[in-house]
Amino acid sequence: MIRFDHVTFQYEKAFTPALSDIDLEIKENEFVAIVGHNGSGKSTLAKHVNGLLLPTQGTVTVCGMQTSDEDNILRIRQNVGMAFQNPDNQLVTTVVEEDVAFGPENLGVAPDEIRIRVDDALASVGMTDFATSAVHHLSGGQKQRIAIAGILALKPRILVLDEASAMLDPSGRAELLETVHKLHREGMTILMVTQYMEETTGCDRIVVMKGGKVVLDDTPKEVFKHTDILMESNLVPPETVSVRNALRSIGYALSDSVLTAELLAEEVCPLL
Amino acid sequence: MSIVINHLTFAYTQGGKPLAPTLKGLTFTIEEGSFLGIIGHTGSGKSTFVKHLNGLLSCEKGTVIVDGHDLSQKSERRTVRSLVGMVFQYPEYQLFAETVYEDVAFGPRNMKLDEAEIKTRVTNAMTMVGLDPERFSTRSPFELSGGERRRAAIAGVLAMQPKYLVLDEPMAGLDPLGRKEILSLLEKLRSESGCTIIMISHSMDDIANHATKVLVLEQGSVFLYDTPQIVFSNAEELQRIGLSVPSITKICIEMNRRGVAIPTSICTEDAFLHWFREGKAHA
Repeated sequence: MIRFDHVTFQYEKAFTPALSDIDLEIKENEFVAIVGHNGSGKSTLAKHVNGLLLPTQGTVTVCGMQTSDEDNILRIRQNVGMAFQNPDNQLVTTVVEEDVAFGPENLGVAPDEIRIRVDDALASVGMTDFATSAVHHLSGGQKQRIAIAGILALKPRILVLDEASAMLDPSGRAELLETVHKLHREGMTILMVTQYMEETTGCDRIVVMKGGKVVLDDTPKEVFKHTDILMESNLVPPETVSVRNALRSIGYALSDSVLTAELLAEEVCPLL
Repeated sequence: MSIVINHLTFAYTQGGKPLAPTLKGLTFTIEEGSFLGIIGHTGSGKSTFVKHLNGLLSCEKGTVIVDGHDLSQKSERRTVRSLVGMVFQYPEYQLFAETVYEDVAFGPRNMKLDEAEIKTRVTNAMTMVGLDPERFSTRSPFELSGGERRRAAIAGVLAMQPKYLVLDEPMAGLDPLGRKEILSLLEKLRSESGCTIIMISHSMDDIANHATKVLVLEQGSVFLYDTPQIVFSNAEELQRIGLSVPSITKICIEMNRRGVAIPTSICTEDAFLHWFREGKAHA
């Protein structure tokens, strides 16, 4: 569904490329997390998916269309929704349902159809009760869900989140992550850039970036076996994985699937 | 010495009229040398509260007294500002000078110190945050990496040698290594110069690992104020007000659900492993 073919990208005036020779394929309905240090190229990569940035070399193909062809850009953007870090920068009106309707209105969607799309989108993110609320009265997590509802109203097939949880408190982050998992179960393809390793344990796949290159690309279970590579990439495994490893070193035989508190308790309790 | 907060009440105003109070009668004492972690969901009053610690905002009722200086007296504010250093969210956006040296020197220069003293302070502050003065002094702050810029901004506050350092989400937006660097810097400051650390954070794991006291704010009131062990053993209450507990506490809760009586006051990896080595025999 998304294909990076030998993609290199260099910002103007930069000495080194932000992305170098990236080969990556993301299949329909996959949930892929992208992690990496500050400046590793993860946001640059995300911005290539809807043609906000175009490769210096190589090609990016989305739903069969190359982003470098200007004629494709509008159709690509209808397929790829993007959510960013600051919810306040993504909301444009003062009332929740007007904000969600803003995108489809701009596309010239018929009013009846807009009503249906707005209701569906708000239901998807669990915000139906807030349809007529004032946007500025919502919490950070709620605003971010409204921003995503606005994207859903455009009926994209791919959702890209670029550190969308970075400014949220713990409950806001949990709400957002739950919403993203629900959309994934309903068939959406998800690409999630994040700084929080514990958010990645439920994904299908984790791509670890370092200095513009992909250094690991595998399931969470496999990726978190490689504490050494993560550390070299300025990352640390989630606290639960670090505890799992410490328990192993004092003799508890825990499996690689132990990535969450529930699974750790499930495996360690019978050993006591 | 300490910061004594007594019945602190504050309301923002809109069009000359006061809004509903943001802070409602806060009363507690921040002991010198402690590492205070402040948690609370968005809008609970955390950032508003810390702005009272050096008189950026002043309370309409109640008092804030820093080392005996009452902030309600305007004449005391200047003294208190030299005692309490503030690092705001995304402080690197406030870097402005042409070189890192000049940026870090800005505070001490405002304090009218002589050039030799300024140089000593800048060099020490840069070394403290891990920016080698030899390498970084003449560089532009804008060519540094995200983590380096954040540390340069913190060095600017440290150069004023505050006794109390207040930080509003100092790790936001940094990668895991950058976060670790800031946290070990704060630990070093506390152990080497006895600096009191007051830190707002959304990371329960970081608070559990570093704070000696935790202040939980909820709708402008003190919800809990205690050690991390006691605060985090209130998992249900914390979840009800939009917070969570550290990863380790979550594991302990799950183990209890499966019939293993591990104390849910355990909130750090060290304490957890210690229980496996020593404590479980008595459980």
